[in-house]
Amino acid sequence: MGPLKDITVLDLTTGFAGEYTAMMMSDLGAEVIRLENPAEKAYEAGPSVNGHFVSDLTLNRGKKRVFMDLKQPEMKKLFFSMIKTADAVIADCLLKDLEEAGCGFEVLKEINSRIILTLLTPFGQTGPLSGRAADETTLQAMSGVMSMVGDFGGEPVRIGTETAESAGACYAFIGTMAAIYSTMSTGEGSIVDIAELDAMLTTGEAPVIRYDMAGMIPVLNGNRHVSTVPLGDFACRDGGQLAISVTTDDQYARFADVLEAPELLDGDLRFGAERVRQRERTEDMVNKAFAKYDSKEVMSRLESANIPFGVINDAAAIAADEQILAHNMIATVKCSDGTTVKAVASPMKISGMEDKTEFSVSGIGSDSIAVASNYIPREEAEALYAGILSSGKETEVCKMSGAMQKRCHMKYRK
Amino acid sequence: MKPLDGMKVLDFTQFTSGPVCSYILADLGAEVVKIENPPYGDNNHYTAPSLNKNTSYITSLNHNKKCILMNMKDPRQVEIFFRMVKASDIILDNFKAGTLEKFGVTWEKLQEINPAIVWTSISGYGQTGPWAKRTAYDATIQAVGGLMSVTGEKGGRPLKAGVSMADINSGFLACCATMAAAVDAKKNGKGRRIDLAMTDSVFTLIQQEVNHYLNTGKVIPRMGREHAYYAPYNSFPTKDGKELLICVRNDDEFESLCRVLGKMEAASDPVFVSNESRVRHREEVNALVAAETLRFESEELEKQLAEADIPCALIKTIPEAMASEQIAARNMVVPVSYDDGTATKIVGSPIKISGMEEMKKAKSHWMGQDTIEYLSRFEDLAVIHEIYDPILADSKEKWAAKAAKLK
Repeated sequence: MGPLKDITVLDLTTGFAGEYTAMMMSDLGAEVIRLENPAEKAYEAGPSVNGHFVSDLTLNRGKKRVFMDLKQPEMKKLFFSMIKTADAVIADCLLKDLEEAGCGFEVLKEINSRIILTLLTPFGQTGPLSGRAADETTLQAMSGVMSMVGDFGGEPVRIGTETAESAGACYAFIGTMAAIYSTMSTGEGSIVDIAELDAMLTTGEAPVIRYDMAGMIPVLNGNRHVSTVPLGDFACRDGGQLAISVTTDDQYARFADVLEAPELLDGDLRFGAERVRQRERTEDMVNKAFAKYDSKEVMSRLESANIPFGVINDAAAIAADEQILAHNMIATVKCSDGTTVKAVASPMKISGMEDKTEFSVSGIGSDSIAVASNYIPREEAEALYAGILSSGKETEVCKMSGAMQKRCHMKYRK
Repeated sequence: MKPLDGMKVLDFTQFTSGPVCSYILADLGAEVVKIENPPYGDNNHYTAPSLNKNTSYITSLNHNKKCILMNMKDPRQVEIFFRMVKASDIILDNFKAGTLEKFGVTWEKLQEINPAIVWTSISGYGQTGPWAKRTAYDATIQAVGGLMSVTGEKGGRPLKAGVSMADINSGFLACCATMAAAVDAKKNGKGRRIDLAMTDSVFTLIQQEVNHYLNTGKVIPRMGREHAYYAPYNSFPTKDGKELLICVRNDDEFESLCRVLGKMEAASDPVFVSNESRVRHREEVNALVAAETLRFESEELEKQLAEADIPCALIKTIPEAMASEQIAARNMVVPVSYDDGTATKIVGSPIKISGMEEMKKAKSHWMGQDTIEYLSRFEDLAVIHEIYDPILADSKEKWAAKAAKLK
C-alpha cells in the first residue's frame, strides 16, 4: 500500500499546479477529497474526449469529487466537519480569500489544531506581487530562467512545458509532508506558503551563484553548456543527432579513444577546464569525429565505452520507449460513463506498493452524497445536494460560461 | 525550529539530481551528511567557476550539509557505515544501479539494521528495465525524455531547457517520494525502497504534452513563445522597444485585454470572441494586439495589464530576477559562507512554513570537513583518527592539485 495511506487531504485547488500536487498525494495512497465549485474553476484547455477535458481526467484520477460552495452555510458546515479528521488542505488562493469565506487558518485550527493549510500561488502570500495573475510563461520570464533558453543568435523562447508550475507543485508536496512530519511531534498545524516564482528560481540555482561568484551572465548558447565541453547535440555522418554529455575527464579519455580521435587529447585538453577554455576548437574536433560514422555506429561505440548519449525523442517516441513501458509509465484512466483516456503514471516507484496503471476518475461532484454521508447523516447529505445534483441534468446552480457548462456533467448515481 | 529537526540523512549523491533532493531536506532542518569517496570526491569540485577552490556547483548544491569522506571498499568503514544507518532515517544515492550492493550495502541488510530506514536511489534509467545500469546526464536525459523536443523556435530545432531541468526535476520528485516515505516510516516504523528514474521524471514533467499525444495521436509542435492551446499568447512590441509577454488564456482575459488596449470592438468580433476561434486566427489576433501594444511604454502597459489581472511579464535576466523586490521580499537569494571566509550568494528555500524559522543564510562545508567529528559518534576517536587522518591528508593534496587546473 502507498506510503500516504493514512493521510487525508482536502483539495480545493483550481489550476494545474495545485491539482498536480494533490494528484501526487493520491497516487501515493492518500485519500484525496476534491472540493469543487465549477463556477470558480480555472479555465480548461487542451484536447477533450467524449466531452471530458483530458487534463481534468488525468490530473484528478483517484480523487473523490464533491461539490462545494463555501459561501453556502450548510456546505461550509460540512467542510468544517471534514477538516476535523483531515491532515491537510491544499488551495491555490490567497489566505484572505479563505478568511473572507469564514474559513481562515485560525478558524480551521480551532476545529483541528493539527491541520496543515498549504497555499500554492504564483507569487506566494507575501511580497509586492502577491495576488498578481500569472501564467507558466510569465513565471519563467520573471525568474530569469527564460533568458537562458534559446538558440545561438536567437531570442529567448519559453520552455515548452509546465516547469514553474511543476516545481511549485513539488515544493507544495514536500512542504506539506514536512509540516505533517513535524506535526506528528508537536501536535500543532501550520500554513505552508509556496510561490511558483520562488520554485522556478530554484531551477536557476546554478546561474544565480555563477553570477554572484564570478559575474557570469548567461548567453543563449543553444544546446551547449557553460562549464562542460563537449555537451549538446552533434550530428553524425547520416545526419542523425545525438545528445552527449562528456562530463568527467575519465569519460573524455574513453570518448576520444572509442571515436578513434587522438587529436581530442592534444595538450591539456584531457582536463575539463582546458576544454572550456578551448571550446570552439574542441567542439569542432568532436563534430569532425562524429561525422566519420553513421549514428548507429556512434551509438554503438559510445555504449561500448559507457559514454552517456541520448537520441532526441519527441512525445510520440518517448511514449513508445521500451524503458518507459518497462517502468509502467503509461496508465489508463476510466470515467463512469466508460470513457477511457491514457495518462502518464507515477514516476515514484516505491516498495510495498504496486505500480498503478489503472485509475478511475469521478465526474465533478459525483461523489458528493457518498462522501458527505461519511460526515453527516445520509438524509442530510441528500437534502444538501438535492437542488444541485439531478439525474442526467447539467447543474443549474453555477454561473458559468458556455464552455464550462459543457464540462459540468454532474450525474448523481443512487 | 524547523520541520525536519532531528531527521538524519546519509547522502551519497553527487553531481546535481541527488544533491538537489538532499539540500531541500537540509534547508528544512534535517542533518544531511554528504559522503564522498576519497581522494577526489564529487566531480563538481573540478568544474569552474570557483573561489578559493570552492566551486559554484559544490557551494550551491551542497549547502547546509556536513561533509565526510568514506571509502566503501574498506570493510572497516562499511562497518562504521552500518552503525550510521542504525541512527539515521534516510539514505540517498544516485550511483549506477548496483553500486552500493557491491560493498555489501543491500536493502535486506539495511532493513535488518533499521526497519524504518528509507533508501532512495536516483538514476538515469531506473534500477530495473533494459537500460538500467547505464550512465546518464542531464543533457542526454533531456534529449531522451522528450524535454528538448518541446522547446524551440516555431519550425526550429529542439533546444535544451537552459538549466539542468532533468536533474532538478528528478531531485524534486525524489524528495517528494522520500518525504512521503519519511512520514509513513515515522507513523508506522517501516521504511521503503524508492527507485526514481530520470527518464520517468522528465516524462512526468512533460505530462501535459505526453497526455495530449496519447489521446490525440498528435505531437504539439515547438511554438517559440506561443502556446498551442491559447491566443493571444506571445511577446508583443512596445513603444520603448522592450517585448512584453502577454498570456491570455480565456475569454474573460481577452475582454480585459481589449479594454486596456482600447479595442473593445475586438472583444465581440466573431473571429476573436472565443479562445478556439482566436487560436484558429492566431496570426490575426497577434497582429491586432501588436498594433495596439506599440502605443504603450512597456512598464506602463505591464502595470495596466497586471491591474486588469492579465498575466504579463518582461523577460528578466538572471541578475534582474535576483535583484527584484519580490525575490528580496521572499528571501529567495541568501548569503552562503565557508569557514575559510569564502562568501557568495545562493537561491533560498521556497518552503515557507508558519511558526518555523525561515532560511536567511546558509553554510557550506568543504570536502571531508566534518569527517572526524561526525564519525567519532560511531567509533572511538583514536580509531577514527587512525583510519581517516591519512585519507584526509591524501585527499587534501590531490584535490588541491586537481583543482589547480580550475584557474
